[in-house]
Amino acid sequence: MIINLKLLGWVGLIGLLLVGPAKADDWPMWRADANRSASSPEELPEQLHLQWTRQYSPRVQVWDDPLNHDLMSYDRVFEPVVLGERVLIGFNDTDKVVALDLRSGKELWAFYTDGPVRFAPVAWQEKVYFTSDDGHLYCVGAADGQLKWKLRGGPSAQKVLGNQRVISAWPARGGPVLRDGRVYFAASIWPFMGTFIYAVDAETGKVAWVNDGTGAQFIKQPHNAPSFAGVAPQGALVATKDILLVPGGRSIPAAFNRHTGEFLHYNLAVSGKGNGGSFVAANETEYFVHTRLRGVRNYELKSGKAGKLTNSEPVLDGTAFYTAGTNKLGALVRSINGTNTLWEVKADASGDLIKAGQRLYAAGSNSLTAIALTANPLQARVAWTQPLPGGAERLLAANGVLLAVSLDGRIRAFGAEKVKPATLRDEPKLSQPDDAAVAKAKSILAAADTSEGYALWLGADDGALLQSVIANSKLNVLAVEPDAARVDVLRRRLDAAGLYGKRATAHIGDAASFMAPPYVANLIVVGESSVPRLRVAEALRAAFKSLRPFGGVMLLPVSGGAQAEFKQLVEAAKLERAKVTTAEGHLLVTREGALPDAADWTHQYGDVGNTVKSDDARVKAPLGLLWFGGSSNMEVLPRHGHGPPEQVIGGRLIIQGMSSFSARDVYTGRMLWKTEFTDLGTFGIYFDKSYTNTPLSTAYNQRHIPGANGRGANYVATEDAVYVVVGSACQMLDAKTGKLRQTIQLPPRTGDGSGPEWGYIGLLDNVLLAGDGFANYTQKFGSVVKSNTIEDFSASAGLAAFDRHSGKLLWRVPARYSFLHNGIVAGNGRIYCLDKLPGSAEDKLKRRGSPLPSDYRVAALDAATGKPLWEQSKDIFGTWLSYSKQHDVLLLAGAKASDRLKDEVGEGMTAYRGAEGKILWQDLKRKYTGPCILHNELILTSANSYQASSGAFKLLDGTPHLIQNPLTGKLEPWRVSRAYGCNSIVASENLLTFRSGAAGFYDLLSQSGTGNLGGFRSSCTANLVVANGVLNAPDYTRTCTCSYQNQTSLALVHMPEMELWAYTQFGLDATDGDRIERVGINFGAPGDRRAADGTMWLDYPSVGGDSPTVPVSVTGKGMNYFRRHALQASGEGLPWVASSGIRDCETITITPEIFRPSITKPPRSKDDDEDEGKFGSGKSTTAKDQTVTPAAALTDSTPKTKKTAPRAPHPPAPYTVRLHFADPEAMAVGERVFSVALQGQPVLANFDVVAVAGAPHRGVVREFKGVIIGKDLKISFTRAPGAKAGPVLSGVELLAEKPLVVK
Amino acid sequence: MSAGHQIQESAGSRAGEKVKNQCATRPSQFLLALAIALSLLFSRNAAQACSVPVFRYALEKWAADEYQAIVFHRGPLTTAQQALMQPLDGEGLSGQPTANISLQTVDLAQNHDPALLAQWQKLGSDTLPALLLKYPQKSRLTAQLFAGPLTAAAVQQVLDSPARREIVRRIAQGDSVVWVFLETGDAARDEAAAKVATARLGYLTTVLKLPTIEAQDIASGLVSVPKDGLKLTFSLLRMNRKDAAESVFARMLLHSEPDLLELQEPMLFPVFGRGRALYALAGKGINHETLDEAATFLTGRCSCEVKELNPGLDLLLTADWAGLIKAQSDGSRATLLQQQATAAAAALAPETVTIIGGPAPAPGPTQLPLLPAAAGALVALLFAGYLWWRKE
Repeated sequence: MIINLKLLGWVGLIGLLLVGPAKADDWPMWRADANRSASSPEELPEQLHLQWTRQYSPRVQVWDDPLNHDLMSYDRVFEPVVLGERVLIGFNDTDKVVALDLRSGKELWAFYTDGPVRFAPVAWQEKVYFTSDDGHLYCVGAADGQLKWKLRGGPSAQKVLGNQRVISAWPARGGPVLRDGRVYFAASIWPFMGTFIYAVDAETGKVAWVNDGTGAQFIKQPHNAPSFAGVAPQGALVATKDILLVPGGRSIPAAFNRHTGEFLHYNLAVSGKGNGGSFVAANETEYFVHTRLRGVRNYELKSGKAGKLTNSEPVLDGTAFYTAGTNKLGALVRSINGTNTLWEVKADASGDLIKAGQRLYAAGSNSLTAIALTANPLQARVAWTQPLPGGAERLLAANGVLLAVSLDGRIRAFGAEKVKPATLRDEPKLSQPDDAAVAKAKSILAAADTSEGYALWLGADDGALLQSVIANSKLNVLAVEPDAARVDVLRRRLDAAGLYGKRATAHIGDAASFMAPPYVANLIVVGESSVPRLRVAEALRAAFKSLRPFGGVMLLPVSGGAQAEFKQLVEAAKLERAKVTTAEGHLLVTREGALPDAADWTHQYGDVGNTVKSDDARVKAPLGLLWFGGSSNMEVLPRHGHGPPEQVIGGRLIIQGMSSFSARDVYTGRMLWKTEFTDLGTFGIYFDKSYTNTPLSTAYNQRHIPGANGRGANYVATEDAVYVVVGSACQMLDAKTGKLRQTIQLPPRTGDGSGPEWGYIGLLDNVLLAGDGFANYTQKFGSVVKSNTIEDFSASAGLAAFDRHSGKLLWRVPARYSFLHNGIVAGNGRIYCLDKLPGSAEDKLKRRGSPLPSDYRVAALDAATGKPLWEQSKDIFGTWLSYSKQHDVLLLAGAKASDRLKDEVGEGMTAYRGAEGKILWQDLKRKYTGPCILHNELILTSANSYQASSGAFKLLDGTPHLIQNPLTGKLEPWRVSRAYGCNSIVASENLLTFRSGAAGFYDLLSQSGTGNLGGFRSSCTANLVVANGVLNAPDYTRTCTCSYQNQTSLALVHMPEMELWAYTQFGLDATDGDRIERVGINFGAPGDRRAADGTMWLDYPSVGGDSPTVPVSVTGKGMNYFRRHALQASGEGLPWVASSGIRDCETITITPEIFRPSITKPPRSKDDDEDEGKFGSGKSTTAKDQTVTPAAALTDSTPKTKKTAPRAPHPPAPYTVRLHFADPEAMAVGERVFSVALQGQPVLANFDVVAVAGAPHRGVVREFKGVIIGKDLKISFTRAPGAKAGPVLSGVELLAEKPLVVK
Repeated sequence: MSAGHQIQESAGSRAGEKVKNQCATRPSQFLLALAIALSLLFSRNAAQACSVPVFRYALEKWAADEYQAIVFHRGPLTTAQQALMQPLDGEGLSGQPTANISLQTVDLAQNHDPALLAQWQKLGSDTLPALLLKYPQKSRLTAQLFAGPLTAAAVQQVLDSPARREIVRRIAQGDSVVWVFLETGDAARDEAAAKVATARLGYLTTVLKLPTIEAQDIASGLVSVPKDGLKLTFSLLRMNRKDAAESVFARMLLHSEPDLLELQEPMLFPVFGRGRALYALAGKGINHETLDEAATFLTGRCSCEVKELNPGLDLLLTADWAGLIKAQSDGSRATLLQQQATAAAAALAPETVTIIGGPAPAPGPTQLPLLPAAAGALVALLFAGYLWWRKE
């Protein structure tokens, strides 16, 4: 009997060893596997009992508004995985991955990264892989959390402020997935920064392939508008057998060949409203993408074609499909086959649904249900339901344990044993800094006179002082310390104190290597140990670069002779606007005032002169990220209301909401203050009753109304105050605090019983201008009634002036008819007013048979006294005045464009000398789209969607501005064109900014053409405002639910190394067949770009856009194009030429002749508004608008294809030919060898790019002079015998050696 | 012809046919070319507009705003009084469709809303129940259109009148725009203005061309008629502002803009869609330029999903618009028109004028843009000459 028992025991043990481990399955990645199926073979125990609860704090999602919360829910709750006996969890606040013991919940180890860990790790073969916002993929040992290797996804260590955290400019938010021994991840969420998608050997960390050429794809965006705005990885990647799916943030995912990285599809435009989001799961025929709430839509895996099925996030098990739903009886779980429901059982799976073994587990709002599946696919039954207080949002099953994760930060483990469950919780361990540290901290804060914002701490030393500063201020501290051990200690101490990630982070590095974001720091504290490092000018400059303008302070703990020494160092380093002062034991370096060459944007059109231009010359293309995230669009007016743009001055962005004003830091996006008003009186003007506040619905909208395009802005900002019109008064807010400082009341006019109303607002020096009552045409002339009465608010009945400081009324003058708000400008001590009736009032007079007034006028008033200086009443037309202070020229014009008042006109220009009113020139028949931009000596006209502008005209004489076409050498009118854009073009010294599908720009310096800042859109208000040294892009897209990749605020600065792609408008007025004088053909490039030396590089094959054609033909068996991100290339020539090219070509024939482009045709209105609802609201202009739209008028000025007679062949001419090479692959010397001939003449023999360049991805340029070209240039390539790879070429540059046209 | 005696069929559609028939002759080729050229001058349409003309889009898609009827009473209403109100409360007059009106009853014994009490006091009569008719709320017009005791006659007067019935009948018949001409009673001035309007509208029917409706717009449900299912038809409906039968309707028109009541001038209201008056042309304001503009707008392509962004005031009419549209599209027009005609014939009707296409009138003070028109005509002449030459 005893023997038998022993035997039984042994048998049992052996059985456990054999059966147990065989049944134990991990949950190694998010939703169980690479398909994200949420289905595991793990058979959990029959009954489950709570084993332990780990209580953490609830997660704060990375994005910050209801729609983004829904679309990108990847860090909404903890997303653990399980490997063996370990639970592995990423933390999006404390930047770490933690391993817990599966059985007890006790922490085993923690590994810190340099940024938030927002995605579930992947576990495989005793290793754990995870990505971080620091831009890296990490591999650590599962047993001890020790780093095995890490791989940076982006091209450099550059940091930005992203979602209020200092992170990589290329954060790794393509969450990792593992299949067949490879880990896949992606870095960068912004296409304009380049996006980087990797396949990495999981064992070694060696890159198997990288695709970094899809960020700048020229593809259709929402509204079917083409833009340079491609794949934007954000979400957990999905690896099917052959296809890698890369979620696209708010958009649908992109698909790549999993084995090679080849791009397959990204059908962004057709996804429509309501489809897209970070959730993606797939089987081997379909994938499923987030719609709204927990819904998904199906798409064909191979083609990306959208299906019509919508369900809740499914469990995918081979061909089986389980999903949660509801019917009139309540919550249920159902099995579906296509459109057929196989079975339904009553169970609440509103939290999560997974399959483990032969059971489904459903987490509801307060329950946990097990559903037993049977062999019969048409049957299932509820095995049990047990209470689950608080519910759960994520379930996972592994190794006999069911983990349930809830929104409140709890992780609960359920197992077979009935035990007394443990609750584990980490209490903050606050350490009290000593008195000396506190005193020192206070002295630092006092010396720097700052207590908010961001502090950069260079050299953390022991961290005590740092902690004291945190305790005595509201600063967010970023410690950068070269000593890894110190950093580790500091991290753990701050984490234990509950401060890490919330108030402070620590990083290994120094001022130069860390590459902190520019302008981020209100305060830089140099630790004593790091003082010597700053004696190096490079380090000093690097530190100073991060100092905020307008008073950021760097504090060095030096005294005595060291102070003098550092003073000299600062002077020698030529730090911009640095002021050095000393205090007891400290030297303070203050970054004073604005950035050099920067300027402000105040008023609706930039300044009180309506120039529509910022004088900021600091911002220029190419541009890169400074910060993103932060305050959402919830504090902004609805986009279709066309409210005023932000005003930017003194380092503050002043932004208007429905009933509020707020100020944000230009350099970090940080909210500085917000002031609520009871009623700003803007209902019916900047928004109306068509506004619906339903962010999770496609009905979330506001119809298009002219808004501030008609009324103008209702506020104006200065460095010290913000003046806000409310009713009959102007509320003067303190610019620093937002608190009310003064109310300036507009007194009633004598005999005016209706009471005063403050209409227009503007500011010239210290004279605050007030529109003295709205024109109210409806009352004055009557009107056929309609709800939109913005015309009534588009002009003032008179003008009053106040001293802006004292509020004293200086003068007031009545209008003869009405002062149109867009026709009130000022400068050089004078006020100019356009005094007339708008077209709608004139129409009314016509309908009564009354004569139209004949004494309209443009009047000039003295700003100080209001006395008339001069007036002109001949040929007064239009709706617009702008004034060039620089040239003393007043322009009378119109401002007709989409979404502006119907009263606007788009014809005629008159220029007056501002001083005396003399007409300088006049063209009453000139047609254009407005508002016109006064850009130094030029008038730049605007362009509506899918139009080219009428061009530019010289301010002083009105003649067309011609520029030399770099391709032909001929002069032609300057033009800009764009795709869909619901705002107006605005300017700065070096850029035009606008919407062209995505956010768009035109680089005035290089004249490359129209480009994009891909990955977001600008608003229907022209919100891409260059000012204070930054391209400001606060999120003005409230009510937009289009699936642009990102929807948030951001700011950009000049980054010369970044890519810039455009489609050039050169050639719009060329004659087909004109000879090319100079051109670059950039093979495989995403777009066109003009080089600093003047060569216009055209993409081949052409991606589209309104760019001209230069005939090119290519032959070659198996020839193919490649494209890398330009930041990956170096060497001779241009990196953005070397980074793409053609492989395996045999001949290339180029005909150096130009063929005119045609303007891209708009999609039909129905398609255009496909994503705007049933009938769309994107273009809800009135019927009358359509009959008089300037589109028709502009047709005359847009080029038409000329039928020209066959022309004589061009005579042969000598050209210099430059061939640009770079090897795109990791080839060894001798593996790719080829010869090249031009016009049949050998020019390169046995050419080996890698041998010459020294490495792959390095450019080599070879120049050949005196190549005679008749009709064509023919380039021939011959692969060397035995070469492993065929010929490669990146670009060809042709330069005529003699001018071909008389200039 | 004096007001209120005879109804004439409008015949713009025949005008269209007439032009078509003339195409067989050589001179008609010239006219056709001229018409095309001139119509091009008017069709300044944006690429993104839908292909449905404004008047039709309004008929198909723009529900008429509801007028507000308020019945003041004190204590419970009798059964008879309640029956009187029924036509105002969604039931319509006996045997007729419903009107665009909503009813609110205010029991002064219980409802002490100061705003409502103020309205009641403004009536200036103690007789109860009392009926007050106001413009649609969206219009923001505050004038009282009718105020008086609640009687069957009052309800009839509010909801119905011969001219309004005639407008409905014509739109049902397919008229593009019914131009309601409100006479002053000064025959000379009225005739002069009517002559200008009649001639110009007749001319416009020959030169304006409706946009070709695109299949995609039909498929999208923007319009329920087939591709060539619309004809350009204008008709003039004359009405005396002092006609007792039209007192509510005349008041409705005269209060639609603040200055009209004071003007002792003939007026013209283009009425389209579901009885929407575009605006008023008055006195010398009835001229070629203003007529051209109104006609061009109403017959041009529409991109007018948002009704409120477009000018116009919905008139109070009794009509089953959905039924009318359906009848037009499914071919049951004859029956419908018969019903409408029968109903219309039962009442006194205002005078109507038939607009038929005719030659261009002598140039008035405001003509088509001269240079473009001349250019268009030149193109047309050349085209016609080319056709003539080929024919020869």
